[in-house]
Amino acid sequence: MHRDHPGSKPGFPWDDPLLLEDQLTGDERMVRDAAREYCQDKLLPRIVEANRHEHFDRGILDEMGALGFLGSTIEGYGCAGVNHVCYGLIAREVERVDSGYRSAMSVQSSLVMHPIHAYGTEAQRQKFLPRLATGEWVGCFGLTEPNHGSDPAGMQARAREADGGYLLHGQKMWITNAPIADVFVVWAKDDAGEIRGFILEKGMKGLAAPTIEGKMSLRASASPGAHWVPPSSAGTPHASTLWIERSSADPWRRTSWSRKSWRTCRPRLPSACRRCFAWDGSWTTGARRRRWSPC
Amino acid sequence: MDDGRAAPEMVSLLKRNNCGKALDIARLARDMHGGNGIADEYHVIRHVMNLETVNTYEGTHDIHALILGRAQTGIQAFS
Repeated sequence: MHRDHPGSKPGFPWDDPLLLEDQLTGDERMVRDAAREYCQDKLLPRIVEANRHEHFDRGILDEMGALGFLGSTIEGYGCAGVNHVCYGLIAREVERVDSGYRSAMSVQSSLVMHPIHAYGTEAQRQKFLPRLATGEWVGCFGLTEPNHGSDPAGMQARAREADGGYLLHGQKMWITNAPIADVFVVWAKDDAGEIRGFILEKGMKGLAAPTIEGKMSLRASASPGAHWVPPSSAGTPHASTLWIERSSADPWRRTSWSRKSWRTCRPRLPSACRRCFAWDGSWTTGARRRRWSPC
Repeated sequence: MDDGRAAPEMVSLLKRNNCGKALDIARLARDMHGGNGIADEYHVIRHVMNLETVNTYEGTHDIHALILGRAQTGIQAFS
């Protein structure tokens, strides 16, 4: 390592030990500083009470929209068009206050606005993106289901072509932003068994997004825990189709946790441990619930 | 990422490491705070609880390990 002054020892900044600050451009630092100022001044004072009472302030998304935090990497449609480093820096500042606030922002940006921008039609982009960018509309993303977690191979939600649109049946769970959402990007299998994405809108017949209370984590998030379309009710005709088919490079490949391996490892665990409630409940869930498909 | 060169496995590597380490650090911080570590006004326990969720919804430590194992060995341990 070269030193200008052999006798001097450079200081060690404990909060930036590898001098990553130097890797940022001036614009990136400016975005980071603006995000930090907002988060520390506006979000931090709210978080303790919000977390204590499981409350999400809807106005936060309007504030984030006004600052350009929503869909920030998208060019046009009212979005900021910054690079991914900036998006990461913003997310870090929000996360520094609370994961729940960061979840609200990143679900809106990465799981709702990005797919509409990347895979939607121009008409869908024009309709949804500007309002999602300002925070006027809130979006959510429905993949996880009560019986299959986030394993899309087991997905039970179904989309059937009907009356010029699609009729959706199914349930989703742990859907951040859902109780306050205006736009729902959800996944369902069509008649051919292919997974497709759909854009649903608040008010569609049969679409419900109740809150599940009692979460001990992400309590300041917009109460993720929504079900949509109770199976007994009518579905949602005329939902907009977003995706047509999966590519061969499907990022959501099924994974396997064979039941055999669970059975094999169980007897090795101490019986005292097995008796405790947490372990017993975990074993029951892990062994009986078919979450990941066997090889 | 802006150049379109980010492979999905890179995301797995970072998510797996970040979430796992963040959870470890938050639990350690809770311990270092003693009793104050469980009081919400000190913010630490809230991060601990939040990160329990984040560790799951960012893909889980185990699933990312399987993805990375496949990329490194060519052997797929899941279907």
